[in-house]
Amino acid sequence: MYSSLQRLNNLSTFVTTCTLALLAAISLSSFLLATTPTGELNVSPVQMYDYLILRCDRRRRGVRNDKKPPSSNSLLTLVRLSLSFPILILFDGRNGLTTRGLEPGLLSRLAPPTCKLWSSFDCLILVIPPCDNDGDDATTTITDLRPLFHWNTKQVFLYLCAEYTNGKGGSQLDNEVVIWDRIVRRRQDARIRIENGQNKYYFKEHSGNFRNVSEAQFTLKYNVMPYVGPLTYGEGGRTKSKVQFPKRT
Amino acid sequence: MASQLQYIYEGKIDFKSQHTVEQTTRVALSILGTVAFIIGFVMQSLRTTFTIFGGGVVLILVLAVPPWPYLNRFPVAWTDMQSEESKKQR
Repeated sequence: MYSSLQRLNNLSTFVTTCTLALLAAISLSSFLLATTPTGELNVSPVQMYDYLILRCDRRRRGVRNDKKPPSSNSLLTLVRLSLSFPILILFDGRNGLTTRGLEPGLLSRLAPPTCKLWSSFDCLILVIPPCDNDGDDATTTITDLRPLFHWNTKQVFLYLCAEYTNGKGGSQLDNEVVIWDRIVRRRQDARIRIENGQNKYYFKEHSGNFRNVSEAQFTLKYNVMPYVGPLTYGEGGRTKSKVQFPKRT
Repeated sequence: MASQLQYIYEGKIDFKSQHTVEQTTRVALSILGTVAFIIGFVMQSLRTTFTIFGGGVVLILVLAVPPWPYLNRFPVAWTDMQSEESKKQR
């Protein structure tokens, strides 16, 4: 303490110690304040729709600019062509293209929002061939997560999982697929209600199809991310009855 | 000007004040940390905690680091210098 620099050195060291003690106290306090969400919390039974991402040859996309709808022969031709990788072709449904009982409005609503749009196309095609399929579902959820928000909560990560087992006999695997998630940053946004929602991510079964798959249970889980301290997980709710996957006809 | 800067940079204070500064700043920082935590916990705001803590730290640094006059109130009373002849005689 004999010079200014020495006093500055001493004091800054002790300030660092005090800051660390303060942060430790803050992270311990979140254990006192953490409570599980109360109130109404349910994931009502979901419905699944069956649709496919149309696979097509890369060379043929972006070509059709004429208003004439493709004939059914050409649809089959498209499907039979080289199956390189799945692309969703989006058109707007003014051409009255029949898609085997699914109306164009429903189809355009079912398209996942993460696909790209090419503006050169002008009608919607979603074909359901007798092979791979993806799941889609609508959920109604009312969730009150406000008890999770205290002074040490930075954000809450919510995710909806589908849990099911696949395989037969001895080779059964437990699957847990995340199909929807949301980041909640403020206490005001913590009351969540989703009606007729749609899965955010593709729900694909690892084996290729949903034939040997048990019923699914849907769970809403959360992960509290603090400013200081460890991450905490919890489960918000689950469907009371299990949900069957749609069977192919 | 240069001598003033040098005076501030060297920052000499008397021994009694050095002891006082050391003890007082430690107590003050501990109390500041506790108070900041309690007030932030009650108000449920981390921003409050760190504003109080940061402001208090700056205040304590300003009061303790530069060589203020009140830290130099008890300078050491050195004895008089003995003259050269008296040293040679001894």
